[in-house]
Amino acid sequence: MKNKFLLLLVLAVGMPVMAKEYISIDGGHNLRGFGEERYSLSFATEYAYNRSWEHMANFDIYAHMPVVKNVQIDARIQLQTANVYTGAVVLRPTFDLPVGQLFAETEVLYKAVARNKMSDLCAALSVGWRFDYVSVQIGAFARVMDSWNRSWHSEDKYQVEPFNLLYRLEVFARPQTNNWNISVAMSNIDDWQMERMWQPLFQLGGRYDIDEHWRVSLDGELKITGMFHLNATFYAAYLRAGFSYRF
Amino acid sequence: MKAQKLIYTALLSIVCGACNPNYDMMGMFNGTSPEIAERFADSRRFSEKAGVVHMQMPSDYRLFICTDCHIDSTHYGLEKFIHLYKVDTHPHMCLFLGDLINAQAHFAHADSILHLDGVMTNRNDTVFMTCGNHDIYFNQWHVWQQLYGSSTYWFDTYTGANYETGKKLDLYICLDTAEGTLGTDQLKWLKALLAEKKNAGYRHIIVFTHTHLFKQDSSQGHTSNLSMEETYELTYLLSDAGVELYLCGHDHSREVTSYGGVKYITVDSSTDAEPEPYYMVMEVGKQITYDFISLLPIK
Repeated sequence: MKNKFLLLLVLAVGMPVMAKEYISIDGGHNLRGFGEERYSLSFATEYAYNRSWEHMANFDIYAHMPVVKNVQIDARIQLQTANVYTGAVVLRPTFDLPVGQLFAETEVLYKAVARNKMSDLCAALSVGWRFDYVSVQIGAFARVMDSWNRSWHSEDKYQVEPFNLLYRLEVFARPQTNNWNISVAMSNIDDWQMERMWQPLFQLGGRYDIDEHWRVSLDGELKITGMFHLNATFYAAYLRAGFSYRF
Repeated sequence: MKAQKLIYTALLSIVCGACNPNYDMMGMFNGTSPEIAERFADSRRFSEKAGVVHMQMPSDYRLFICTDCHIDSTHYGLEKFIHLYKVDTHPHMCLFLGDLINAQAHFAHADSILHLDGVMTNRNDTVFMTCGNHDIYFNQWHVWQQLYGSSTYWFDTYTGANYETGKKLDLYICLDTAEGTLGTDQLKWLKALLAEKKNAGYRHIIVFTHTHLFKQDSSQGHTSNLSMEETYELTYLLSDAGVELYLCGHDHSREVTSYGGVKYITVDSSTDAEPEPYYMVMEVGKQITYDFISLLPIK
């Protein structure tokens, strides 16, 4: 009864929000998304809108590389028609537990914002615990923003934000072993951005595994601004469709 | 049993938070005042009707800057600030960077203090306002607008007999970031204005608003910034146009930093609840210098 109540509470918290779909596919493991023992390559196209850059199209490439057992590397590249280019590398050791799976992530995300002649570099450390229906992740990241036109002869300097909280809560509709799934998530990060802790992203996503090699996925994401100073308003939306091939 | 206790405590906190008259909890899901596009349109309608303000100044002048008074039952900080502003023989104007009030029904209170008396009329003393997130809680944008007119506007200063024959000094641009975004229309307006004015011969270009852009420390509690894309866009726009200074509040803690050739200053809060309330005094001449002055003792 208590467990059901807890599950209902988690669902209620997750319900108004929406999610990042996960690209990786499991290998000889019962948890999809992590613990994958085979290489995969994924592609996605995105329509995106935000109030500053307005409409844009994005093209995403993901590579999943299980370097040794229980240690994976993910590499991602995104090209945006808004003249912004993003690359990320994630190192993810996993630890199988009697219930669920523990994972740790070290991520470096670099964004070349060519339209604004600047770069944004984020480095994150986080730990997570993933079950059949729920995944939680918490950690911290640091950011360095630098202008490409910086004057080296003045007090002008790069911007360092040494500590930002990183969080992610994702709730799944089906067990991880199912060949399709839908999830909702709230977090301040996705594959292409790390927002400040008070700028949550709401995600809703789904995936369908056609066979042992092919997966298709579709997900949407909303960025609301001003939530935590009690003046929430829409800022950005992303709609992403893609497929994965597992070797 | 422990889990049950935790859940009940969390639920109780949410319920209590929602009942606190200072928190516009509905605003967490959707702001209760008109959103930025509508506020921007309201502001521009007012400003276009009122016309642009050109302030006649000596070439070196002083201005006072205050933010985040959060007036509710007491208003010692704002009262003291206005008193210091009135008795100083040099200041010619004052900028107020938002969050004049804390919650609902405090505008009358706050405005009675802000209202400058006859002693000031023979000087140029004026308060230029922008709104903060607290000012528009509980659908109070229209009250704010009725009192102060516009939250997106520009004005400039000049020296000489009149604006046409005188010498242009400095350009001031006020932005509305109360919701944590400039919105599309306001950003376009800012781009067009800066493109038009950046080579117009101004000595300094100064932008002032409520929300800060950077998060260098953990002083901010739950105050949010603009989103990252907007931070990239706005910082580039300000650097490209040769803006010298970006003044803001919101964080309640002082921060002075430079990025892309622009100095970003977050001014301390002057609320009565603040253990160390400050305001800022700026001397504007060929160079800009500034100082932060304590409001202690606040009573």
